[in-house]
Amino acid sequence: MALKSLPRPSIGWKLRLTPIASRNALVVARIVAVLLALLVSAVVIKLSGLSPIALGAKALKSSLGSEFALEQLGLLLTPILITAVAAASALRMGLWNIGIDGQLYIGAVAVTGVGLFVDGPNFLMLLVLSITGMVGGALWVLLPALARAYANVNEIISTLMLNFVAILIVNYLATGPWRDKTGAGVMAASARIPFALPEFFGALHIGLFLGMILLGVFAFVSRFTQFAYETDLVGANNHIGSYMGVRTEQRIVVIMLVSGAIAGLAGMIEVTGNVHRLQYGISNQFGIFGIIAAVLGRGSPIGIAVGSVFIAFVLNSGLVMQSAGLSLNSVIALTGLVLLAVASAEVLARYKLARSSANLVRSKVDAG
Amino acid sequence: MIELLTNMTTSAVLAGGVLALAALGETLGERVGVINLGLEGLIAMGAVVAVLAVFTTGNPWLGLLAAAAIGLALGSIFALAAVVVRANQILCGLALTFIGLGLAKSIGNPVAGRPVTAQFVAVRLPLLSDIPILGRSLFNQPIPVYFALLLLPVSLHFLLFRTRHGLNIRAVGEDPGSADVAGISVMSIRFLYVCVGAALTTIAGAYLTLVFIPTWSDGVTAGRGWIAIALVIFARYQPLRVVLGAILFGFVTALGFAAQALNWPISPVVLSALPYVLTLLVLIGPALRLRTANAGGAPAALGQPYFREERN
Repeated sequence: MALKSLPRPSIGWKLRLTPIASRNALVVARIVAVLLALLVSAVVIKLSGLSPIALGAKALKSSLGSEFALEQLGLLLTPILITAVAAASALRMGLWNIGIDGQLYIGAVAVTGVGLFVDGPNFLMLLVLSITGMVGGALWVLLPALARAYANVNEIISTLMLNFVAILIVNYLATGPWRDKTGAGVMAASARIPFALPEFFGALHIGLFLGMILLGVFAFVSRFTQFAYETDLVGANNHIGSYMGVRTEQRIVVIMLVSGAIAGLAGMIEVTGNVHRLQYGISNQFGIFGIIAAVLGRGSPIGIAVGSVFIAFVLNSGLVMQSAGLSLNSVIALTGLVLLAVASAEVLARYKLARSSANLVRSKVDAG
Repeated sequence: MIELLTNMTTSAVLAGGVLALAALGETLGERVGVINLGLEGLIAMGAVVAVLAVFTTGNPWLGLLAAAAIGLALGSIFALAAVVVRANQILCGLALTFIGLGLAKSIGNPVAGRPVTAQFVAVRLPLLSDIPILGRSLFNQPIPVYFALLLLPVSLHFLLFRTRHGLNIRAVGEDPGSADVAGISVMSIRFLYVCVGAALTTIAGAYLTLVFIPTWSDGVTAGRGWIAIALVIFARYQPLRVVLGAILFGFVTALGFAAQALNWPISPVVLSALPYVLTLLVLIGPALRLRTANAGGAPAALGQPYFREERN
């Protein structure tokens, strides 16, 4: 009866933190976060004296409004889709491969090296170049992978450091030993590689299909193989491997190499499909955008596809509207904002409105 | 030879200052358990804001102040997500990198490549600066250099290891649950020091453009933010060791300059790659020796958001 004299809580409902968010809450929170980030960007654009609505309309038109626009969108979507799969593969194990750009570049270097100096029928050579690119990308992540697995060295910093080195190597090769000596008017690029992926829609090449197939393979492996299941578990808990008979260190190396090889494949596809030469800027920060797409999609295949299309759309808008006062850099800032909002939404989705427990006790007491 | 050594140590000290400021800021944040991967973006923002402020006011001190202010603002945004909302710190840090780099390059475009109109000038300390070689490089430098390499690390060391408040700071980074029970406000301490750390990092950016390289350009940060993060691990989260590490890295940068100036038969690619390769080496080297958990001196709760509801 003493309980009766307790003060009544002023609010009968309160926010309660749940251990994991429900799937619906996550989806809603994510969409709200992206919209909020876009709204903030619109305000910033407005404040800088441009009209966000006019820009938005122009963005839609420039990405979807014409055949050329769709072609450009596809050309950007291709590498982002592939780098997103590369990032998502590593993230399955909680590994952050921030060096995808570097691995893409070194894949491109390997492909150019073979493509310039080895001759053969186009189809066969494309096959050889794919493998070359994947080997190049995997080799570039080997040291960070081993360091992470066996010495617990932070893979974020180590893979990122190698990005800078990769760009130096590309610049050196493209302006030095491999530079175009034919005088075709291409500055700071290697000679043209004679092997090309077939194009099917304007300049859009079959790399887009390769990306989709890759995503399909990723979906299949994630869903149906023991390998992926083990990787999920080992990634979630370092110690579980020893109970399951999985060597965690080995698995870290394998996963990182797979991620690097996919990044290298993106390099191969960019060289043989889009740029046809080795030059700085082959990777238009595709590694970064791939990571963001993978995070936006929470690593699920459909999510990755949606995330990649969104990022490709934003990026394309930024590139097309440079004359309207936007730039690639403002797009990077915008994607950062989206990432921050989504990261916050992830946690906020875990809160649930619940009747406060004090009130429950109260009502039980009241009921006798 | 003496001239060369003097020049090299002078530029080593100058280059080291950028890394020292950024790494000391990161040390503060990581000591309270928050890893901020956004240093690269913060340095870029600090660098560009300082340049813009100097172009409008002509006063480098106001440039430094403006950089510190933008650091507090960006730090608050980061801390709002990473400390208050308690979102994934890695994601928040990457987001801050992109926001900072993207924004800095956008607003810096009009002044890119233009030399700044006012810089910090060297202040000569009497007597000390007469020591050969080291005297001139250590004691004939602009004031921010003394701040970055002497005043700041010593005061941080004192704060962290010699005061009661420092004990609270470290407690929050090691075991926020226990700190909470002891009545320390985990969230306010984390918020405060993440913001101070971010401000120090943007000041590192201002130092970069007002002391070291007197112009803003897109690639001027050159991965220094990431190197600074590696430096904190290398220095095992100790402010005084951070400074030694920073000067070591500064020396490698200076080596590159000297080799190019003297036409040493080393490819410029190799020289430019040196700082990045060295970063890899200083990460891997000690890690091979200290494989046991936490021998690297990392705060035990580093990177973990603190939810009181989930305290055990």
